[in-house]
Amino acid sequence: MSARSTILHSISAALGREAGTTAEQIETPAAVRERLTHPRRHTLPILSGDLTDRLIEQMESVLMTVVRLQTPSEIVTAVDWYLQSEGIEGGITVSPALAHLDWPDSVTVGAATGHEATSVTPALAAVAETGSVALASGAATPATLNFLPENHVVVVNESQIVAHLDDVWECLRDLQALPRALNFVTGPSRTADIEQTIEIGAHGPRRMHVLLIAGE
Amino acid sequence: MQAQSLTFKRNAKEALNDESLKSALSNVKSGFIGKRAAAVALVPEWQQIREEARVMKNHVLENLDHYLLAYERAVQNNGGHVHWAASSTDASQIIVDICRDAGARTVTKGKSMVGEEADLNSALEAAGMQPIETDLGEYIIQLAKEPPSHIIAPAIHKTKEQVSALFHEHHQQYGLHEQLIDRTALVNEARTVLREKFVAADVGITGANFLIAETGQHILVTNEGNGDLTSNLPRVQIVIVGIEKVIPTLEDASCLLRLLARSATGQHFSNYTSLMSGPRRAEDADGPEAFHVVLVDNKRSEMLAGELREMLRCFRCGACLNHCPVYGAVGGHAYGWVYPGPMGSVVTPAMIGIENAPDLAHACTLNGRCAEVCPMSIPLPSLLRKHRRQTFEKQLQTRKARYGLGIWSALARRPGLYQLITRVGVASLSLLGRRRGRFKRLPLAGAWTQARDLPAPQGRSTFMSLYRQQKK
Repeated sequence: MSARSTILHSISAALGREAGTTAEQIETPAAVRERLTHPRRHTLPILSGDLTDRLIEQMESVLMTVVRLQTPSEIVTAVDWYLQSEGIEGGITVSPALAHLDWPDSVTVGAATGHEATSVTPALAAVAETGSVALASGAATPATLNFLPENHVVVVNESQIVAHLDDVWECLRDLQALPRALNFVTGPSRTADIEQTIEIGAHGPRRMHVLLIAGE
Repeated sequence: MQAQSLTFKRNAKEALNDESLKSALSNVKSGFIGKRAAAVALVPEWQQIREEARVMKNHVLENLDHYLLAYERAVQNNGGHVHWAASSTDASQIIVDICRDAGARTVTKGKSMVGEEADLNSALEAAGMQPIETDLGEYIIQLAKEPPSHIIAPAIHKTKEQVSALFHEHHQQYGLHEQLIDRTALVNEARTVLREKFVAADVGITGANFLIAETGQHILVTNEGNGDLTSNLPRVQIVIVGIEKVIPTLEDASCLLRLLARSATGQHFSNYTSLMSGPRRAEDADGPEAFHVVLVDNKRSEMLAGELREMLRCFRCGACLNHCPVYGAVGGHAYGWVYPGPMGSVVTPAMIGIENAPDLAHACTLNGRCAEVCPMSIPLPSLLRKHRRQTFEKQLQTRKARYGLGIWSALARRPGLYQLITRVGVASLSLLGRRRGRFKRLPLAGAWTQARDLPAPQGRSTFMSLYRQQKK
């Protein structure tokens, strides 16, 4: 008997089903089918106040910095200003999704190689509940840009701000295909593995900067 | 790893005399407990969310195979491969075979407790591959050749001086010749060395916090980002996970995610929470070329059948460890296997056999704090009592303990005799102790009086005689 069959028999016996039958031989219970086809929300924490304010507050509490911009045309300047003010040198790689902006010639476009200092990527959503940016991988948004560079700049439109994680599930279901990776990033990489003391910059980016662009 | 749970008492005694362990463990109390309480206090809906999580997970366990099959179908739709492993040894073998087929030389790993169950690193090494742990805590104990001592903070028993000595010893080959003293320097050193490993690895192996039946995604939660680098960079991605981790939908995931980070580290959300599914898509610029998930039973279906089913709601946050006075005193290694603390004392006997871990269920004061903080409302003390009953029935305790319990149970079933003996006992203790008011030494109570005096009873009344008087 295959391991799969052994395990299915063993679970079936544990659940007190008729000897020798596995879940494959019986109909999927209506409750299971219903649950899978009509996902139900659980209790959501109530968020008080303005969503954008809450988002910014949460992000700052996990050491992300946030700058508000009026239009997407300000992104290139805002990135340059940020890098200068932080004294960050080295190469910049941007997601293909942002390639249309007026970047200087030194900026590269594509997946991360591990040699760039800074990446600039767009978000699928930003979650006020947690202070996270939600980043979906795809041809125009390589996931490695979220993890390899030392500094990560994320572009969020105010219209992309949602209240709860559950709202992101709706965004995900609206996409044409399931992205290989959906990364919620909530602040720069950290560890507390040495004496329970928090250190920033364990393996992922040491700095996270959000450019929040005003809605139309 | 070879289980050392049989010698729990000796392990615990050694641990209690270990001064640097004591200093390292003091960080558990000062760190985890306060942070968790503060994070939970900010969510007025906490108990409601917790209750819904319990009900949802019970529904999953009642239909575990249906959800596993749905998950399997969804993974295959996403282009991934699903493997089933009845035992942890089988899981290791499956993973070794995948790595071999991929021509792997180096393998990066995210922290996985199921991987520890399977002793996966030894299996990979035996097959001529180099496994590299990438979670900082897990990397530290890999250098030290020790098992983890906490399920979310594996190196919590190490002081920074010990970490510094380990790096000094093992990083000479990478050009480190000085003794690093501060934490930031140690973290940077690990970052630099491991960065090369991330990029060079052929295969990346991680665990998973949840499997989503609806979409075929798995969720991986870390703070360091090591899980994502392990998942995204190598050619082949492997996930090793227990069958109980499946949940129905994304909405169920957000319910559990609200409980997980707060219970584990007191963060409202971990830094990296990633949902992944299958290999890179045709048009993608990065990501693995192949995706495998290994579903591990290793006694979980037996737990599903028996009195321990509720334990399968556990999502390994570590809150019960952090709040356990026994864990806080002896640390994780004394428990002798992969899982320490209250959850470990329930799971370990179920996985390696109660005859190999008879003392764990007794290393508990039944104070109930673990059940109180458990986000999945697992009644840990009752489950431990079930193990205790088994150790008695299987005669796994010392003869002295069994006879003592036998005598007590015979008395307890004869209330008249019981009350007579307690009356005589209390009266004589009160008489003997009237001068000093306490006993320095007392027959049969040596273990108590070794560390402190036993106070003499004040007066001659027993609880029952007082009760009768009050009732009149």
